[in-house]
Amino acid sequence: MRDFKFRNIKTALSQMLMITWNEIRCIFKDSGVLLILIIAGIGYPLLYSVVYLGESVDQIPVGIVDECGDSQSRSFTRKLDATREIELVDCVNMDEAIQMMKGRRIHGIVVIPKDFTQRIGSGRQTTVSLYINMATFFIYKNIALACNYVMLDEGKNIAIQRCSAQGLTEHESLVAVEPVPNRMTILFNPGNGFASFFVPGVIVLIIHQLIFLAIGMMTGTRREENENRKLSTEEDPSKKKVYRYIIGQGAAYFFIYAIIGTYILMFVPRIFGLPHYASAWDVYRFLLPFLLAVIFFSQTWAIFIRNRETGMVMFLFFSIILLFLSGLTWPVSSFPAFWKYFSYIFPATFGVQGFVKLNCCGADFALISKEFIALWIQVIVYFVTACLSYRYINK
Amino acid sequence: MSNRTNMFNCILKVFRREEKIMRSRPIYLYGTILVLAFSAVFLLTLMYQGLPQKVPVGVVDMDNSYLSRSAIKQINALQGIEIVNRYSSFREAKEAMQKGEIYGFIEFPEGLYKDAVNGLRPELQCYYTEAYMVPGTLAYRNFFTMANVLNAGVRRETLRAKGTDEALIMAQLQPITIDTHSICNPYSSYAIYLISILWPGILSLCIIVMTVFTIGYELKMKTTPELLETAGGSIINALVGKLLPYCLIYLVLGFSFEVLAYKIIGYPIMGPFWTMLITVTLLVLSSHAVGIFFIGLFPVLRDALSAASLYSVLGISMSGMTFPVEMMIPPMQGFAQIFPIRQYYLVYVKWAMLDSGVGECWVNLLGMCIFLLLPFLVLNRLQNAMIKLNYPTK
Repeated sequence: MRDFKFRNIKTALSQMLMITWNEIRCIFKDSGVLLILIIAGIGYPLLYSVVYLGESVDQIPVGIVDECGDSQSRSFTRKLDATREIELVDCVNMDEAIQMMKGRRIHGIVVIPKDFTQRIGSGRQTTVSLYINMATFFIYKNIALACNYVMLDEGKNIAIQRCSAQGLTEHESLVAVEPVPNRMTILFNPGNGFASFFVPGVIVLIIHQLIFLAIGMMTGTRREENENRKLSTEEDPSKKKVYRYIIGQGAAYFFIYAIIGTYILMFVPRIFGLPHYASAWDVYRFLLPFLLAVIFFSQTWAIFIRNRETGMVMFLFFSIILLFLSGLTWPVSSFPAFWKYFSYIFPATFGVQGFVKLNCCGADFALISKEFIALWIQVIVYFVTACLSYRYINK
Repeated sequence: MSNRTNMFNCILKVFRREEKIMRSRPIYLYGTILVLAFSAVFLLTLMYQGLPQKVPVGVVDMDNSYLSRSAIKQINALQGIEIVNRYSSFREAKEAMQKGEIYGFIEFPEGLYKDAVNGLRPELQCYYTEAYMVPGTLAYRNFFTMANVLNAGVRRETLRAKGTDEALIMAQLQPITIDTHSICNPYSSYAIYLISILWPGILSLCIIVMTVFTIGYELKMKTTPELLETAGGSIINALVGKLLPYCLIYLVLGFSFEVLAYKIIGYPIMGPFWTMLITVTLLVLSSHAVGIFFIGLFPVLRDALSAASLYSVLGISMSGMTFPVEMMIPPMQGFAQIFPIRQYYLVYVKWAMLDSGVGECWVNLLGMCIFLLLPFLVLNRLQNAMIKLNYPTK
C-alpha cells in the first residue's frame, strides 16, 4: 500500500516536470510570449528608470514682477533665485508674465507689491502674490515649497532685525522670534527623488502585468488552436489531476521569473542608484508568494480568454488601474471602502506595498507580515480557482 | 460625381459590415465603452476627495504638557492630517511608518514647555516619508503649518503680555505672507490634474490597441480580401469604413468626458470650452492613425499588438503630467513628442487651461495633425499584406 502511494507521488512529479518542460519549450518557441515575458521584462524596467533619470525637479523657470524694486525686495528675490527649485526670469509687468506663462515658458509668477519695503519699514504686514500653474504636480509642489521657505526665512530675518533694533541680544531675539524651532526630517527617500519614489513600485507592477499577459497569451493560443476551446493536449493529465497541470505549467513561469525577477528587483535598483534596503533573503522570501499568487491568479483568468489576443486588449488598461490601487500615488487611507476591498483581489496591491516597504522604507520582514500573509492567502485561493477554471474549460 | 457616390456607398457597406462584426463578439463592446466607462467611474470615485484628507500621522509626546497637548489639538483641527495613534518612542513610531500605518509623526521632546518658557528654544522634531510622495508631502505641509502656529502662539502670549496691539502682533509674527493662487485649480485638487490627463490617456491607449486589433484580426482570419472587395478595392475606403464606427463611439465618449469634466463637474479652464472638443477630436483621430501605423508596420496581429501595447502604456508617463518632460534627459524629451497624449496635454494646458490662443499652441496642434499622416507611410505595405496574406497568422 505504501509502495503504491510512493509510486503515485513519483508519477505525479514526473508528469509535472514534463508539463513544465513542455511549457518552457512552448514559451521559447513563441516569439510573442517571448517578447512580453523576457524582452519586455528586461527592457521595461530599464526604460522606466531612464525616463525618470532626472530624479528631481530643479531650476524651474518662474517669472518675477518686482513692482517695488529696491534693496529690500531684491534681497527677497535673490533668495528665491538661490533656491534649488527656482530660477527667476525677469518680467517687466504682469502682462508680459502672463503671456510667458501661457506659452509655458515660465510655470509660476511671483509679484512683489509696490509698498513692499514701505510696509515692512513701518512694521506692517506685506503680501507677496504667487501664481502657480498646477498642470504638472511636481512643478507646483516645488515652486510652492521654495516660496514658502524663502517667505519664512526672510520674515524671520526681518523680525530679528526689529528685535535687535529694540535692544535685544541675539539670543533674546531668536527666542522672541522662534521660541520653538522645528526640524523637518525625511525618513524614507530623503533625496525627495521622483524615480526613487515611483520606480521601485512600478517594477513590481511590471512583473505582475507581464506574467499576466504572457500566461493569457499562452492559454489564449491553446484554446484558439483547440477546436472545442479546451486546453487539453496529449501531455495533459486526466481531468481529476488538474492540479498537476496547474503546478506544472506555473512552475515554468516561476523558474523564468525567479531569474528575471532577480534582475528586476535586485539589479535594476542598484544600476540606477534607487533605494535597495532589502536583503536578498528578504526579497526572495517575499518574491516566492508574490510570483505564485500572480501565476495562479493569471491561470484563473484563462476561463475568459478564448483567443490569443483578447487578454492583451482586455487587461492592458488595467495596468493604470492597478497602479492606483497599489496606493503608490493616492494614499490608501483616502480610498473609498469599496475600492480598498477591490484592491485586495490583485496580488499587485500587496506586492507593490510589500516591496516598497522592504526596499524603500527599510522595513524588517516582520513589519510586512500583513502583506506576506495576504499573498499566501491569495496563493491558496487562486490555486483552487485556477484548478476550477481549468476543469470548467475542459469539461 | 458618380465616383464620389460610389465611394460613399463602399464606405457605407464596410461600415455596415463592421457593425455586424462588432455585435458578434463582446470584446468590441468591452474595448470601447466598458473600459472607458469603468475607468471614468474608477478615477472619479477613487479621488472624490480631490485632495487627500485626514492623512494618518502619529505623535510621540514625551512632554505631555499644556503646550504639546494644545499642539495635538491644533493638528487634529487641520483638514489635511489626523493623528491616528500615539507612540511611546521614536522607534515604535518609525516602525508604524515602515508598516505604512502613518505617513509622518511629530516628536515633542521631554521638557518642551519648560524649556520654551525659559527661552532655551527646545527643538520640535517632525518626520515624514517621501516614499509615498502625495501623503508625505501633505504631512510635511501640515506639520509646517502646525509648527508655525505653535511658535506664533507662544510669541503672541509674550507680545500680548507686553500690551502690543493685535494687528501689529500679526505683522511682528509674520512680516511677509504669501498669497498663493493655483491657476485653474483653486482647491489644489490632485484629482483635477490627474484625471484631466489620465482618462484621455486611457482613451488614447484603447483606441490604439482596438485599431490594431480590429484590422489585425481580419488579417489573422484572412478575411481582408473580402473586406477590400466590399470597399470596392480601395484600401482608403476599407480603412475609413472599418474604423468609422469606432471613431464615432470614441468621439462620443471623448465629448461626454469633456462635458462631464469641464461643464458638469466644473474643472476650471480659462479658455473657451470648444477648444477641449477640438483637442479631444484630434486625440481620437491621431490615436487611430498611430494604430493603423502599427498594424501596417507589423501586419501580424500578435506582433503589432505587443508593440502597440508596450508603446501606448508608456504614453501615460510621457505625457509629463506628474514628472515634467523638461526635467527628463534630452533623448527622452524628444521621445515624449511621439505620443499623441503628450501633444494633447500641451494643447490642453496652453489653449484650454490658460487661454493662450492658437499662437502659443499651434506647434502642438500641428504635431497632432502630423500623426494623421502616419498611415500613408504604411498604406502600400498594409494593402499588400491584405491582398497577398503573406504574413504568418500565428
